[in-house]
Amino acid sequence: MQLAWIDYLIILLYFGFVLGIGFLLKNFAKTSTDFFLSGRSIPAWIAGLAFISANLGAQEVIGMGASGAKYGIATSHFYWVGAIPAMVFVGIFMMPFYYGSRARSVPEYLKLRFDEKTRGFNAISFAAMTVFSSGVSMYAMGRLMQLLLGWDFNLSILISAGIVLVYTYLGGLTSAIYNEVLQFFLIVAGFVPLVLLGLAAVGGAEGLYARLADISVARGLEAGALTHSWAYMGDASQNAMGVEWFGLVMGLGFVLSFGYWCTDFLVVQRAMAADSMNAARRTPLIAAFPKMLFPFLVILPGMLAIAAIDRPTVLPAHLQCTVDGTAAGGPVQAGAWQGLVPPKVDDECRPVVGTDGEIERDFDLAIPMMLLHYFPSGLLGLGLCALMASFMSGMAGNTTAFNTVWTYDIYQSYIRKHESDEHYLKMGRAATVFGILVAVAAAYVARQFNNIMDLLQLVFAFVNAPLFATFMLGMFWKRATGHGAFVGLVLGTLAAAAHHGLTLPMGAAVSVKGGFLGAVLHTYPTEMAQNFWTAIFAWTTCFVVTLAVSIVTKPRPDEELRGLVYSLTPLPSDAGVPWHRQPGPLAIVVLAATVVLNAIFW
Amino acid sequence: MDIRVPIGLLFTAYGVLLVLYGLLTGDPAAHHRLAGMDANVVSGVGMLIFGGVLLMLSRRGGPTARRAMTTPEGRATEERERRTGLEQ
Repeated sequence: MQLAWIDYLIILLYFGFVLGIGFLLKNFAKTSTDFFLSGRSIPAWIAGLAFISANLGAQEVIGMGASGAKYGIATSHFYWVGAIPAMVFVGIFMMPFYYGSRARSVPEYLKLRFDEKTRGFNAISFAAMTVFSSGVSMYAMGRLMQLLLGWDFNLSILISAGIVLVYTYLGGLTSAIYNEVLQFFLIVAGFVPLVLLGLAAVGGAEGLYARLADISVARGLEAGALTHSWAYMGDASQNAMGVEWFGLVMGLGFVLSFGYWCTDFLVVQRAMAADSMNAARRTPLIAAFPKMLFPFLVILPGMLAIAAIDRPTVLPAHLQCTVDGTAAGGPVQAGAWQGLVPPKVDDECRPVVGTDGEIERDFDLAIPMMLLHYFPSGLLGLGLCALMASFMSGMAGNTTAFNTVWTYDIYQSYIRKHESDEHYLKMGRAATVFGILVAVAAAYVARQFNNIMDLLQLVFAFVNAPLFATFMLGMFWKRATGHGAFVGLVLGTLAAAAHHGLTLPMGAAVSVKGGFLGAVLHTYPTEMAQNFWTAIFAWTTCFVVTLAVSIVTKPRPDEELRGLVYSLTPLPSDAGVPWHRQPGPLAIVVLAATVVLNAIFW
Repeated sequence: MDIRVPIGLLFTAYGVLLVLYGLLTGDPAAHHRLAGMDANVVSGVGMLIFGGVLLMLSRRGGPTARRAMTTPEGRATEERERRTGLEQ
């Protein structure tokens, strides 16, 4: 695939603007609070858009498109069951403690509420996780650009990491947040035309539903399985996700989503940077409005890709062989494609056949193929900018969260205490460089040894799964103790590992996918179902253990917990603020809209 | 810096580029058309409008990021760092 000059011009303009914002803000950071928390001065709507944009990494965009192609409208559960209720909860119930305690990071809140070891556990695992996950998404991005456009992998990594490094180094969190707002609008501008073009080509919503009904039946499901979010959730065998409603609501909706949105410093940092308690509480609520509409931008293109009637006209390099027929294995038959979703092909251009005898499809290419097919030169440049913007916003989010946790919760706590503010500001800049270098190294490790990365991500998933139980008990039960929190976290993590090690998704061999503890006690229909239940086990273990250990250990006196626990903190008052700027009414509007969306796509 | 300015400028520039490029290249294939018109032109016009609106809004002025020492919450954070001995 060759880009036209206009595409390059559009991409270069984008690079110029993100770097320009960094340079304009280079004198902004005079103190460490400027650098790590934007001087706690960000207006609510900017913090809200940055909140959503930092979360919207390239893997989310590509992955949600892939899931849209695989599972259809049911993928919206990640938004309308998963994200939104958790975002409302963090804004209304948790922000008063995060913001009100003046903690500068999520691990620091744990230190104030519990003790040093709980903070240490969280800070170290979080710091490692953010760096590795930006490495993995950098690798995914570099590989995608190589596949689609034939761009050099090393060059892609160098440029993307270099740009993020420059602007986060110069302007710190402020520059990351400002760029995230710009990237948010670019992602929207890139995906709206894609959806409109895809919908027009398939004959509108009616055409799309008719095509998806055929595909559903061909996969052995009911005709409506891909076009309903709830109707087939009663039984795991009836929907493409292989999940039943209880596992979905508890595993995804409660444990995983609340665990992510309420405790992950990557997003919480954006709200902590807001200019007042009211703005901090509104940050996730403002973010919820675009978030609930994102399924139409990122899931719908995946559905449009499998439903497409058009044959692909432009192919990425590794699929060129499927047309020429020059490869040893001969050309891949037209039937191996599903709409615009290509088959996975091996080195000899033969389609890869799964254990069930079906041709495996490369769902991760659903959105990229949509871009290549529907966008003419010009818009294509914009579409690629949208992909790069999503990658950079995620990466900058990880970088700023890493340098803050590293400087405040690891360096200042365990390595050099009581230094001057300038010292920590310098350390923050150094940590930015260091974090990005490690992420680049991780990207190359991911390229060489995919298994190591799978394993690491698995370990992080284990560490994350129980976390929300700790925060919930910490914030709403003043009797919870540091020992209880720490033991609960450790055992919850082990419970996750044990559950994963004793179960398997259907059709998988014993590996990082499960069963590695020697016995397989239960087989889940899909990997997703297994993940949801791993989370449920981890959360429950952490909750029960924290409760039990807290009861037999000595609690902290009430006066030390003021501002940190629900029963000892006066709820912030919004008296005198117009209703549309009050968190409560906003939350009700958000939740009502989410119920309506669920009902429409029932 | 008001973030609406750079975003408004970038969208306006993209809008101009897409409209001009769309008009110059002419007669696109069916799957590159929105409502019968060149998708580049349609999207470009949309981006021009959005960019223009942001630039207009920014003329009225609005809140932007400020240094910690100039905001009450920022000062309180710095103050706590010194009071609790986190920093000298």
